[in-house]
This record gives sequence, structure tokens and C-alpha cells, in this order.
Amino acid sequence: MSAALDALALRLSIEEFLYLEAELLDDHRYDQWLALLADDVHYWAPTQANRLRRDRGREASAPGEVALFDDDKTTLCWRVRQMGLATHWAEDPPSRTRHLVSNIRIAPAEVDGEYAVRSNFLCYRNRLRDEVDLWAGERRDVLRRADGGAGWLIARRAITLDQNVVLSKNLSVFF
Amino acid sequence: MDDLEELVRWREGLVSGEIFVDPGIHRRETEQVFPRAWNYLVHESQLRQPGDFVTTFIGADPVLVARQRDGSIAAMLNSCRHRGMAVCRADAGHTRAFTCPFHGWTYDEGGRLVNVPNLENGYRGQLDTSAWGLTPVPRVEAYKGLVFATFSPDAPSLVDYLGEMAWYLDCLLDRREGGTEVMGGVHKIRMHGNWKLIAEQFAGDNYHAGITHASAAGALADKPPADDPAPETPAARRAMQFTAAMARPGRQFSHRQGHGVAGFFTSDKALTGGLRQMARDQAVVADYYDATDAEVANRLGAERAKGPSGTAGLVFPTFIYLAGVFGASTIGVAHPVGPEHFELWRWCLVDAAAPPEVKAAMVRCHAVWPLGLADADDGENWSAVQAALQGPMARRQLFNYQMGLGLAGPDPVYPGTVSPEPIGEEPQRAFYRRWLEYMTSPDAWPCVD
Repeated sequence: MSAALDALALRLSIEEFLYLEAELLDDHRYDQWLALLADDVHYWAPTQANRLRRDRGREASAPGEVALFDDDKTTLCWRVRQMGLATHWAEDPPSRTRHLVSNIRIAPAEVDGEYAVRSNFLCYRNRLRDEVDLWAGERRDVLRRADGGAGWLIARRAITLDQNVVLSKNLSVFF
Repeated sequence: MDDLEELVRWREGLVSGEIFVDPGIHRRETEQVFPRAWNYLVHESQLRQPGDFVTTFIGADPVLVARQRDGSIAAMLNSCRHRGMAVCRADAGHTRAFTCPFHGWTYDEGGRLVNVPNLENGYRGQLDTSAWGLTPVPRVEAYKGLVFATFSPDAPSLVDYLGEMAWYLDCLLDRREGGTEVMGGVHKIRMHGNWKLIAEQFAGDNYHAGITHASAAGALADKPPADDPAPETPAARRAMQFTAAMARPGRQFSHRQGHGVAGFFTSDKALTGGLRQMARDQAVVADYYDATDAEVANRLGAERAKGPSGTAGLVFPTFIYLAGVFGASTIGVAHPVGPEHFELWRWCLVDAAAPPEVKAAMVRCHAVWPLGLADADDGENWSAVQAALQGPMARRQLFNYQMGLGLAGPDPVYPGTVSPEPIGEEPQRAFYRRWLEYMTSPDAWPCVD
């Protein structure tokens, strides 16, 4: 019983964390979002190719190949800083976004105190008069327990964006 | 459409918004411009073995490109001769045959028809399979790894088509022994905007960089986000600060075939300028450029180891590149998708002889700058042009392409038609002059006077 309660408490804690993250992004509180990322974070979204069925498993670009995001904390800081600049035309006026996070699956990671957390996302963006973008995908995170703050840090995030050609005119968004 | 000469008055530096939105003009482009020009297909390093293939487009037409058993590269329409279906729907791969999923007509890697179901009982053996191969793109030629193709029997050779542009391309393609290769993975993004907006930008628009990319440059400033003064700084004033950085000696190159080099600073050792301070990956690339500087200067000459080695350019109509910008070199193609959209496909190009850790750093630089910090604002601006031109009064306006009118000519150092400033619009005027010739010439190849 205790083990089941522990698992439930863990799940609630992780779900709360992921919902907080989505809230920060949708509220454009990007510097607070940055604080949820570990200093050694790797934030990565490979490209997705159309391959023949016999090449299944080779759709995503491999580590070391070209990716949509391949960021460490420094380059994520650049992206966040750009979001706040008055000359960032892509986000001025700011977009309206809504991050929906679901299908959360939790497993212990290799390192003690870390968990491999998979979640699905749907991100809706509405911009200017009538521009709409919809991105769906999966995130494979490694979450690390942290003292204080939100209780967790994102140590790794691998994003599968379910698009071949990126159908939005940019990716001035975080998943 | 008979008034195209009135819509593109390149001599005066005037271009009408109609050419970016009119469906009839776009249909004519797909018939007159793309099939006749030399179109970029693939980098040779992407097709290493016989049977390796990629799919792409020439304008609006789907094209299949494959390495042949004799080592050559062939291109053909990706459309079955029986009912037109695409015979290959993967982006890339390796195969011995392409079988049409509709009725099973099967073609080999060269497009030859090698199997037809019911050939004996249905066609009674009367079908001449040798006459029903995939429609070839008849001319495929390469320049230092870059493979281009044209349907025109009368087009000049690729090397003659490139002309002096090849001298500038060498800054990208011929830095080191072994040439270049493309890294795995490709950025593909659907932009809202007419394809000519990006084509002319890479040909000659160094002007936009300071304003459009002010936030990308500002993001690299070494301040924590909360302390950044930018939100309080009037946007125009901040943008002007970046534009002031353009007031340095430099040049632009324009070519009679419509190619251009957008602009470079002659005094710069362009590749490493500012790179080292940015972050770890950029420092790795800066060290690599420094270490190979002497070798590059030895191969290409000192003048090409500087300015033109760090810039943007266009090979007419849609091959674009960034040479050594922000720690990565990028090659790409802008496929038109109707008059209102284009698809930007971009690969990371590296020296084949570069060490693995340098290639890895370049790949990460490629992700953070072109698709990340820079494209975000380009994509917004192109879409805002396209949206504004939907009304008849707006699209009938003549836009100003007059910067640097009459200034271009020969240069003592740089070959071809060269403008004496790093910003200007001579390459754009040359682009639209050539575009107009394609659009109005009935010949198999629009001649250059």
C-alpha cells in the first residue's frame, strides 16, 4: 500500500511540475521557465523524415545530425532573451499559446533521483488576426529531483514533433 | 499578363506587388522559369551508393534523383507514366526498383520500365516498355558536389550558367582538399510568402539583416534576460544601432543569369568575427576556421579567405546558401508552393576533412541560428508582406528597388558585376531582369544579350 501511495505521490508531483511548466510558457514567463531547466540540460528535437517501411526507425535524425532544436542552457538563454526583445517581430504582438500535456508515463531513470518521463503534447498557437498553428508530439524527459524551487529540474528533453515539413512559419515556441 | 514589362521595370528599380500574388503569373513561372533554369537537386554526398535516392521538386514538378550503377546521377519525374501517381513517396532511401502502388508499373533506379503487370494477357505483349520509362530530366550536371538539373536542351552548361558565381561559391565548396559533405537531417519549413521573397533576399538583401535580425543579434548580448534594457528601448532606435554596423567597406555581386552574393565586408576576417565570444560550439568553429585559414588562403587566395567567405547568396532561381554565418554553412532550396507559400529545405554543409567534433559543433550552430533565432523573424516578415498584398490597391503598388542604382561595375579584386557597398539592390534588379526574360521569352532558352 505504501509503495502504491509513493507512486501516486510521485505521479502527482511530476504532473504538477509539468502543468506548472506549461503555465509558465503560456503566460510568457520565460525566464521563470528557464529556471526549471538544469544547467546541464540538453533540449533536442530531431527532424522527421518520410522513410520506406523497411527503414522504420530511421525517420528521426540521429544524435549529431541536424535537429530542429539542439540546445544547451546557453543557447536556450539566447532564445528566451530574444522572446523578450521589442525587435523580435515574430512575437510582437505576442502570440497566444496553449500547451496541453497528457499521457504521462513515469519510470525510474538510471541515476538515483532521476525519472524518465514521457508525455504527449498538443500546442495551439493563435497569432495576429487569424493565424493558427497546431503542433502535436511526444516529449521524453529526464526529470531530476531538486531542493526548493519547483521540486524538479528538466535534465534532458527529447521532442518528437509529429511533422515532416514544419508547417508553421517559424518555431518561436518551446515544447 | 502582357504587361509584365510594366510590372517589372528593373531599369528604374520598380517592381509591382502583383508578381508575388497573381495565380496566373505563378502558373507561368512553373512553366517558363523552373523547367528551363538550372535547379538545385541534391548534394553528391547524399547519394553514395547505386540505388540511393532522394525525392525533391523542380518548381511545381516532383522529381526523383538516384545514383546509377555507373556512378552517375539521374533525375526523372516522380510520376508514373500510366496514371501519374508518384512512384516514390519517401524523402530518401535505397532501392533497386520503384513500384507504382496504383497498378504496379515498376521502374529501375534509372527510370526504365522493367515490369508491367498483365503485360502478356492485358496488353497482348504489344506494349513497348522501352518507350514508357519515367520522364527524364534530360540534363544533370554537378559543380563541386552540388547537383543541378534542367529540362532545357538549349541551356548553357552548368559551369557557364554559374559564370563568376562559381568563384564566390568556391568560398563555400572548395575550402579544403576533399570538398564538402552534407550532414544527416534537413530543416524543412513551410513559409507563408511567395518564393521570390526569399530568392531576392539571398541574392542581394544584406539590408534587412540589421533590422529583421536585430533581436537575434540582441539575444547574443551578454546580459541576463531580466536585465535586458531592450523592451524599454524604442525598436527603431535599437534597430538603427545594428544597421550602423553595416556602414563598413564591402561589396555585392550580381550576375546576368540572376545569381547574387548578398553582401560582404572586405576588411573582415568574416568567419571568426565575434564567434568566439558566443558559446562553446561557436568557439570550436572559430578555432577550426583559424586553424584552416592558411590552407584556405593558399587554395583560394587571401581575398576569398576574408569577405565573401561569410555571406549569403543565390543561384537562380532557388538555390540559397549561407557561408560561414554564425558558425555554420547552410545550403538550401526554396520550393514554390503556389503563389502564396514556399518550402525552405536547408542542410548543414561541412568540409569533408573537418574533425568530427567540429562537424558536430557546426550542426548545433545550424539549428540555433538559421531555423532558430534568424528564421523566426524572417518567417514573420515574409508572411506580413504576403498578407498585406491581398488587396488590389496594395498589390498594384510599385515597390522601391532603387538602392545603389547605377553604381555597379567591374572591381579590381572581385570578379563580375560588383557594387561598391555591402548593401544595395543591384542583385535584386539583376534577379528580376532575368526573371522577366524567362517569363516573356518563347525560346527553349531565354538568351542573354
